[in-house]
Amino acid sequence: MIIVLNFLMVLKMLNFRILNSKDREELFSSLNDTYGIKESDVSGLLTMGGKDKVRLLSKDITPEVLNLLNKNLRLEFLGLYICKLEKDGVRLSHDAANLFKDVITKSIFLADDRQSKEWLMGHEVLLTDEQIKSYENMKGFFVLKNSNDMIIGCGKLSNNRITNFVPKSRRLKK
Amino acid sequence: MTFDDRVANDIKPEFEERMLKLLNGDKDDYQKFRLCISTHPLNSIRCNTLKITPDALKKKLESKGWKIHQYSPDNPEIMIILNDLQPGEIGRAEEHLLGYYYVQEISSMLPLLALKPQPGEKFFDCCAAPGSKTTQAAALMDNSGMILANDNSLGRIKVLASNLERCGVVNTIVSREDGLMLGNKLANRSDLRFDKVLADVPCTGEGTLRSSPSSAGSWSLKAIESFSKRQMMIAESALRLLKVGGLMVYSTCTHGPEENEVVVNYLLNNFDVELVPFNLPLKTRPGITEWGGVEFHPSLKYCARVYPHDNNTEGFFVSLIKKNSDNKNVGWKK
Repeated sequence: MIIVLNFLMVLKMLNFRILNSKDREELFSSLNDTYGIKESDVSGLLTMGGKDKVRLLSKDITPEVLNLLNKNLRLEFLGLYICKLEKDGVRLSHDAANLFKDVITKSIFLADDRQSKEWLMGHEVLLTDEQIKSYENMKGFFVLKNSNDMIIGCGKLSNNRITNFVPKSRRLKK
Repeated sequence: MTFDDRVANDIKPEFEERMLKLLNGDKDDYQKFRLCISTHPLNSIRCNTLKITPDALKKKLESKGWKIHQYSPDNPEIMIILNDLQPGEIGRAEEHLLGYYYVQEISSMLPLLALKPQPGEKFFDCCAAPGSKTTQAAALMDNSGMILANDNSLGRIKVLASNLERCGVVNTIVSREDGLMLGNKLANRSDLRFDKVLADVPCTGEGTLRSSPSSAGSWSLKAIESFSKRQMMIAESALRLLKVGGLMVYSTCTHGPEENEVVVNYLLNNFDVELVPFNLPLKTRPGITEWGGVEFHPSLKYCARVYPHDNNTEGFFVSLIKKNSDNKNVGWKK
């Protein structure tokens, strides 16, 4: 009976692991290479759950408290989804692009007003001739900024277009 | 001002009788109340200071042609949009999708203005979805400390999660437990206690008739009695997680004393707690100290009743409770 209860307890626990210093080092090496985000720019606990998604929690939340809550309550959701490890790099989440806007120094794509609107509606961005020259031979993940200096998300540049990752629920409607 | 006949047509005589009594039998006051609840509420928003300053947001919104009024000098994040907007326009705006503001009725912002969670504190929100107050707390706490936000419905938690992400909140852990059980469960199994607790409990919603006119039709005394019992249990459970010396807000968006003063009186009678006076940036009326022939603790006057016609808002009830010790049954009884 106790074994069954323990098994059920484990089943209902939220599945995540807290990133250790080696994991963090690797993650920030990629974040720094792509976006210029250094480990010293981000304070807090980092966890990784399903689909290799990394989440950030306030530095005041200790691993002990987190584990205690996970052991005793049915947790559904932790902190903020900030990035996902993909084969070809680290993809920043829509909201992390905004959260880290002051420390992102690399891979910034300046979208014009038409592109910004299209982007926020969920469409991919097609580069203009001028942009094709500027971003020649560049590919990978980019943070998009509009003409009002607002960060509007993160996408992936390849073949002169940027794939849109704006979540469906956050898209502008006509 | 646009009128909504649905409320006027659906209001039940018993509801009218009770409201008139709550307004001390003042028929003019009641007429103002009736008139007000038949109008649509103001378009109010709260600037998400985790992402943008109130001044910067105001400028952005004004550049779109919106007329913005900041509600009070002490709370520049509270804004009213004075233009007549298309249905859904506030929710569809780019600034909303980017998490620069939260669409929230002013009266719903009051519990956190009374509780004042501070950076670094531990905060427990026992009935958190859809997240208006959780995101407000995160902003007041500057995304630091810890918020445990609980709700018992997976559907509502999805909305809560979406709002937390949109607002860029990093200090929140979301659990799915029955609010009746969570406090007792965690208190029995751990020493974890919170500096501040919000028990903004499910209620009959008499205060939200302006935005939800259909609730007038489903109003009943039976529902009030049923909610009242559950509210007492949720409040008691939440109180267990409050640390000694900590503060808890018990609030509802309803007017009936059974769901408000009766619940707070129950806590005063059964636990070593006291009510704390507080100020809010709008007109409030004191909690009542007698209802249906039953006399309540005299300090219930420190609770705040918010009536729609006093401030052109929805209706609300807010009480601020301090826990003096973990002892039980030391309170006032009558």
